[in-house]
Amino acid sequence: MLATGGTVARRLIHSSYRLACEGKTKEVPTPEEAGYAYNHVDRKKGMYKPQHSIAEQISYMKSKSYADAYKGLPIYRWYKRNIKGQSKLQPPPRLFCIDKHGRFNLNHACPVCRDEYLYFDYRNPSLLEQFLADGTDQPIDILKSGLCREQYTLLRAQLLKAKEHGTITFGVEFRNFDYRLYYKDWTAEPGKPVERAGIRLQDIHPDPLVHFPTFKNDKNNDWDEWWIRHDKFARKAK
Amino acid sequence: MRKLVIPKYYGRPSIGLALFGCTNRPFYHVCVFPDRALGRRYESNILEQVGTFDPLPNQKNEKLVALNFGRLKYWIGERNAHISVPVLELLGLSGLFPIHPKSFIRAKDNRQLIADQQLKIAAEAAEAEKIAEEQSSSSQPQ
Amino acid sequence: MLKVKLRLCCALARIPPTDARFSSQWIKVSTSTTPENVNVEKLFVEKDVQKLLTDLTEIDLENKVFRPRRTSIQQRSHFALMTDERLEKTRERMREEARRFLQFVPVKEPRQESVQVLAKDAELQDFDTSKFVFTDITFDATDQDRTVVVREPDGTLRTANPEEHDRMNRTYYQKPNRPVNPPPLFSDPYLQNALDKDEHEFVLDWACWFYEPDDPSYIRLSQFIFDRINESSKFNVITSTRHFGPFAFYLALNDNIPRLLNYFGGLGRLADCANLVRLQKTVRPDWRVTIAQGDSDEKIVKDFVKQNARFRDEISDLNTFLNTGKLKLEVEQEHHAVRERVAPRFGFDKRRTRITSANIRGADGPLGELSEMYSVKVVKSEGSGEGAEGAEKKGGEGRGKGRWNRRNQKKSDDDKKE
Repeated sequence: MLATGGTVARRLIHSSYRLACEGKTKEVPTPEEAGYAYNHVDRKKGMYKPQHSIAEQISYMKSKSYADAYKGLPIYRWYKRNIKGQSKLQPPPRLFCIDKHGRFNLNHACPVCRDEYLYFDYRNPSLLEQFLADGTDQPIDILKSGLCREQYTLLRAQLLKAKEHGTITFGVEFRNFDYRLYYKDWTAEPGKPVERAGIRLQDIHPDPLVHFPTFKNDKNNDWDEWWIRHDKFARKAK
Repeated sequence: MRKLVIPKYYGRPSIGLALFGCTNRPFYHVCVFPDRALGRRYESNILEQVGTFDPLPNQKNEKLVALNFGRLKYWIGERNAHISVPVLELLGLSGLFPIHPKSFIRAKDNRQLIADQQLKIAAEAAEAEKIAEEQSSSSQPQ
Repeated sequence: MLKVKLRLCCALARIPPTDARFSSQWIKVSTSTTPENVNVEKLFVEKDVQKLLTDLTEIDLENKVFRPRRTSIQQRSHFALMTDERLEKTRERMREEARRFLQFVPVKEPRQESVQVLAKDAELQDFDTSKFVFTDITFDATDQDRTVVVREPDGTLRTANPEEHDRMNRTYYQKPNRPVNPPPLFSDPYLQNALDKDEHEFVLDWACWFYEPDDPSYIRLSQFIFDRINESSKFNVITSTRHFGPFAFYLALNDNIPRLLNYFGGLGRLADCANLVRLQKTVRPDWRVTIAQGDSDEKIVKDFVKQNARFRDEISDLNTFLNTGKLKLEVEQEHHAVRERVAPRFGFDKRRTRITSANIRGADGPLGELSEMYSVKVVKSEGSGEGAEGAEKKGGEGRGKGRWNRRNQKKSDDDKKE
C-alpha cells in the first residue's frame, strides 16, 4: 500500500529528472544490509522506511507512544526545517525524502516521512485532518506544513480520495432549485439564491455605529512627548 | 487564444480541426480560421473556437465531440464559411448535415478489412485442423 | 390495465413506466386505496401538501441548518453585544435565511431510460470501432435542454440515455464537487460506512448537487437512504434538513408513517403528529375515514391510532404519551432511576446523569462541587443549549463526532422542552 502510493507519485513527478541525474544504476544495498529506519533510530540516511498496514497506523495514532511524542498537537508543530533565517524566507520545499528504492536520502526528513508508521491514506482521516486549514477542507500551505513535495501531493490526492469515499465530510454547495423548470404548473418565482458560507452574522446584525464624541481633546499639550517630561522627572530625581 | 487577424481583410472563413494536445495525445479544437491559405495550427490565427473533438476513446469506448451548433449555423449560413472534410464528416455523423461520402467509403473499407481478417482466421483455423488431422493420420499407421 | 396518458415536456417525452402494478416510481406498496393514476409530481406541488411539509420541517438553527461545516474559505466568528429584543430580531432574520436553505428537493418521476432512434444508416456500419457522442454546447441551453446524441458503430444515430446525458453535462460544464464519474460514496461499501456514521444528510446533499432530481440513480439512492432511515428509526438525522419534506412525502405515499409518528410522539410534538396524519390523508384520500375541519390535534391522532391497529407495536412511545402524557426521555429517566435505586453504584459517574432543570444548579448535577463554589447561571439558547455544562468529547472519529461533523444532540430535546 505504502509502496504503490509512493512509487506512483514518484514515477509521475521524478522519473525523467532522476533518470537524467542518476545515469547508470549504482549498487543499491538491500534492506537487510542498510537497516530499517524505525522511530528510535536517529540518523536515517540510507535506511529503508518500514511498511505498515493501515490498521497498525490507526492503532499507533491512538497509542501512548504517539501521545508522548506529539502531545496532542498536529505533527507539523514539532518539526522545523534546518534553514538559515526566517520561516517566511525559506527556500522552496524539497522534492522527496525517500528515493525510489525506499531509502531515506537525508537525515532530517519531513514530519510524515520520518515517522515509520505514518503515511497519508484515505482510510485514516485523523492524519489528513491535521493538515487541513481550520474550518476548511483545503490543505494548509506547503511551506507551513514542512512536508516534502511528494508527501504534499500524496496529501492532496488522499484528501480528494477521502472526500469521494465519504471518510471526510464537507459542506457541499447548496443547490437552488427553480421549481418552474421542474413543474409545469408552478408559477411562483424562486427566492434569492443562497450559498453555504454566504451570509455572515455581520450582515444580519451590523455592528451599530456608535459615535463617541471627543471632549477634553488632548491637543496642544505634549502629554505624549514623554522625552520632554522625562527630563523634568530626571532633574527632579537628582 | 489571442486574435491578431482582422476578418475584414481576408477571404472566406474556414472551419477546420486545429491539433492541440501533446506527444502521443492528440486533441482537436473545431475552430474558425480567417482564410484557408494561412497556416492551421497556430493560435493567433483562430477567429473563434466552435467545438472540440477527442480522437482517443475514453474508458467507455466513446469519442467525445462537442459542437456549438448555434455559432456553426451562423458561420455556415451567414458568413458562408468553407468547411474542411474532417469537420464535414463529424457534422454528418452528428446529424446536422447529410453523411459525407468519405464516411461511407471508410465504413466500406473497414468492413472489407474485417471480412478479410475473418477469412484469414478461418483459413488459418482450417489449416491448423488439416495439419492436426495429417499428424494423427500419420501417427496411426505406426 | 388502465390506459396511461402521454405528457410531453421540454425535449424529453415523459411516459410513466410500463410497470404492471404501479404507475409511479415513488409508490412501492399497493393497498386497496391506491388510485391507479396518481400523479406524484402534481400531488407534491399542491399547496396543502407543501404547507403541511413546511410545517412538519422544524427549523433547528444551531444543530442542523447552520451547523459547523467544512467550507472552502475560512471565516471568523463574530461576537456582538445586543439587547434581548435585538437578539430576537436577529434570530428571526436567521430563521428567514434558514427557510431558504430548507427548500425541498423536487420530487419527480425518473426520466425514461429508453432512447429515441433518430436515423438508421446501415451503410455506415463499422465506420469506427467506438461510439461518437455529440454534445451541443450552444450558449443558451440549460442542462436539461441540451441535445446529446450518440452515433453507434453500427450506424444508428440515437439520443443519449439519462446517464450519458448527465455525464456530458458534467464533463463540459464543470462545477466544484461534481466530478464526471459518480463518487464511490454513492455505492457500497462506502455508502454503508457513511450511513453507519450517521452522515445521511451529507450523502443526500451531495447526491442532490451531483445528480439531477429526475435522474433514476438519484431516485434510487434517495429512496434507499429513506428506507434505511425509516428502518433504523434514526429520524433525527434528517429533521430540519431540506430532505425531510420529500422523506415525509415518500412515507405518507407508501402508508409508512407509524415509526415517524412514534418518533414525534416520543418527543411530545402532537402538532407534528397531527400534521403527519393530515398529510397522509391528503396524499392518500380514503373516503371512509376523513378529518373534520375543527378536529383538535389530539383527536386526529387518537382516531388514526384507533383506525390503524395493525401497527400497534410500532407506536409504543406515542401511546405512552397519549395515555400518560410522559415523554420518552422522562420514561427512560424513570427506568434509569429505578435501576439506580435497585443497584446503587459506587463512584457515581457524573457524566451519565440526565441533566434537567432540577439537576443543573445542584451539587448532584453536572458541576458537582463547583456549583457550591460558584453560582450557576443557566442560559437558554436556541435549539440545544448546553446550559452551564459545556464539555464535549474532543477528537472524535468513527461516529463522526468531530468538531466539523455533527454536534452532540442528546441534550437537545431535553432542553428544548424546558
